[in-house]
Amino acid sequence: MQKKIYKFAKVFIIVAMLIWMAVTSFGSFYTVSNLSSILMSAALLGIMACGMMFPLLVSGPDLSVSGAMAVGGMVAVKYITSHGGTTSSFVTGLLLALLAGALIGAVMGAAIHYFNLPSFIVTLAMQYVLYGAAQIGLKSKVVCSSPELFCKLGNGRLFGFPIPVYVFLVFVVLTVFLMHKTVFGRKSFMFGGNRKASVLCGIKGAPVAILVFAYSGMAAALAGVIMAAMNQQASATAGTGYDTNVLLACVLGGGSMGEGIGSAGGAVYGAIFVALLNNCLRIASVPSLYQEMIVGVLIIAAMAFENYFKAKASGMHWSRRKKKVEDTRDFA
Amino acid sequence: MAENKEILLRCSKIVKEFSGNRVLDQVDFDIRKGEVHSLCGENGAGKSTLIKIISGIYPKDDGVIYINGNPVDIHSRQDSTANGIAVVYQELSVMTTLTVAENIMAGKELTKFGFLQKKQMNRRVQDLIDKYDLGLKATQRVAELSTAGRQVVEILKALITDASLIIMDEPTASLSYKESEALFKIIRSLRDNGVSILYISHRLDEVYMLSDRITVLRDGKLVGVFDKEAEGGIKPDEVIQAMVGKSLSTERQKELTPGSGKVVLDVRHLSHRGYFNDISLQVHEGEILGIGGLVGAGRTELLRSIFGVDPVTAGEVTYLDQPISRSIRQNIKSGIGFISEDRRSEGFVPQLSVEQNAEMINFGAVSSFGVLSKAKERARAKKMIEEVNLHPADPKYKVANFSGGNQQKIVVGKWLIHNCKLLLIDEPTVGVDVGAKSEIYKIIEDMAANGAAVIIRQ
Repeated sequence: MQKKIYKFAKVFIIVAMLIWMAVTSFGSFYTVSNLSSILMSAALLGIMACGMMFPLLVSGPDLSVSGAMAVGGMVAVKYITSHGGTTSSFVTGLLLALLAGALIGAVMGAAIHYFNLPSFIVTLAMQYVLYGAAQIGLKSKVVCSSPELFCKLGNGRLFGFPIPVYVFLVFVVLTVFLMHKTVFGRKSFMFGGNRKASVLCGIKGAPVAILVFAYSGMAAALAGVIMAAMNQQASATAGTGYDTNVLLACVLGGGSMGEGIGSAGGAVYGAIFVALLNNCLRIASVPSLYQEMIVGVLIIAAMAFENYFKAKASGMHWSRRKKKVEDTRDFA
Repeated sequence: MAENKEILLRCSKIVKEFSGNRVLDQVDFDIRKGEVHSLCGENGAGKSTLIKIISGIYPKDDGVIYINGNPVDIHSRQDSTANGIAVVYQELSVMTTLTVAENIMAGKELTKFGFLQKKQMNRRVQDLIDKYDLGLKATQRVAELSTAGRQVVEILKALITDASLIIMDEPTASLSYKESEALFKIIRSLRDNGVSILYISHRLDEVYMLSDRITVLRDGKLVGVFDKEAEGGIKPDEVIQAMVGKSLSTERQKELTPGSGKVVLDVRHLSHRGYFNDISLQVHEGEILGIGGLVGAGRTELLRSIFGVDPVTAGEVTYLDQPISRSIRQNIKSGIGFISEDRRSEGFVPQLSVEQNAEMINFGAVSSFGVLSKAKERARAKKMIEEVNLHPADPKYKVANFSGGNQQKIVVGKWLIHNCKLLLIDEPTVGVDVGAKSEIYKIIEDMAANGAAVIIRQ
């Protein structure tokens, strides 16, 4: 029952936002160009949120995504421009960018696993490293407007929808498959849910820890390439702010801090929510300074809301002070 | 002489239930002034619950606690401290970067105009140390102290509150023999200064040596009080008899048939320095081998070392005529199973379902090329649920929502359907109700009857 209310509430908030927009600013919100710009930003956020959901299952947030975006965009654009902007150079550049993202993630995952470091700190430090690398690599902005396929990746349309939306859909399918249908996904849930029990069941932690961050890094690099294609240039600061937005999307979507809770569907929901919220605040002409405040308050409210319902659903009292003594562990 | 001693604390008809499970049933209990009183009983007898009620961590459901003859209400730790009760915990709660005096005075700092009166505090702590001859310096950092020294700091924290009753829960669990001796000296010195000690330990020889009286609990009921001053003193046999109960003779008996089958596991001179030394044993097909011993005897560690969780410092193990692997993964593949005593933290993944937990040890059986097969998962879980009689019999139900007994059935069941040839079980029935207990034993016996070798630590 509680669970149903909770799920209902999640959908209700989105519906409420849509109604609010319909009442207050129908003319400017419900236009094709505005809706497709919501979809565009939801797609970028969603690709990265799908990626970040994996490390959130196993060990914690991946804050390096904004840096990985910049590096991904840089690698692809530099490769394409230095190889004459051919279609084949675009494909190779894209693959190289994805590889770079995965490698970055793998390094972080290995450091987190083998040295037993908190993922929060390692990924934050990596964000600095990556920003630095992107700034060195992109001393001046690198403009890239060919091949056509590259431009289409950012700004093209198919059946009226922006191309990035299709990329997002493909990525969601891939993530659902990996997370919920494969042994790797199941191991991620298990390793995050109970590390000791997993080890005693013969599950090796290192591959899981490395692969989840590699996947997140790869997703961020992909988003970075799309971003570069949208702007037709690579910039070291293009990804600024995406790390917290993606984390917010994941948290809203029910992701845990390394406790084996989360889902691909949650990441999609969170991404749409954040994109919609940002758009609503802009349309309602809330000054951008206030927008940031509202987003911050929302993170805390979402977490509290989530915890409240989780505790209710499991029959425990949500507030610590009123916690019932039901722990029969230490009978002896 | 004993009769003349005043009663410090008396518990009358204490009752405590946990979700319908009666853990303490009308327990009467008293402690005299200036005595060392031990509380004995097997795991689950209710010792910890009783001390938690006395120290205000759990509320009691019924009964009265009297201190110096007056009924008192103890609802919190503050209440128990105000009534002169202090607890020295198993897990030490000292702040290692602070000095001895700072630790002891934490929360009760002496101040003048808001400034700390370091000198006075140090002097006060040093006076206390000297009074009981504890051999510490007030200005020493706790990080420099050994475990035993830290324990003394904990005891000092109790003494600074003018505690008249100090509860010690397994104080020697992590101490060496020599350190224990020093602790006993301190306990005697406290007693001679009129402080009462409530002592809890699984090491019975310590209990006999230290105690003036021993109270024995079994299954939440008081079964006996033994007095050193009584005629004949304390007889160890009687205490053990009281702890274990008459049920020893009526308990389920198994025909002991030493294995005639193939040797499954052969352990020769196995050692893990500091835990166990020079262990040799053999288990045959269809045999259940029990490992006995007191807490800290190295039983758990032996099983963990065989399975490959903990290292081995000497000796060798052969499994089915091959040297055993040091990799857990490899051992599971070759048919060895391990059930940890700590079900909650090492047994299962609470937020995943029964079927997902059932496949943890063998993804190969439910997947091909790394892709899971829903049908295979479901079939495997259904088979397990049927064999262990799980309730509720829903493969999609989260393991966290099951009762302790049913959770343990899942933990045992996942090895059952894995068709283990050797199962290492470390205490399979902690916190499991009586009904599920006998079902779990039945499952284990059936596995042995089907040819598995079982080592069980009870």
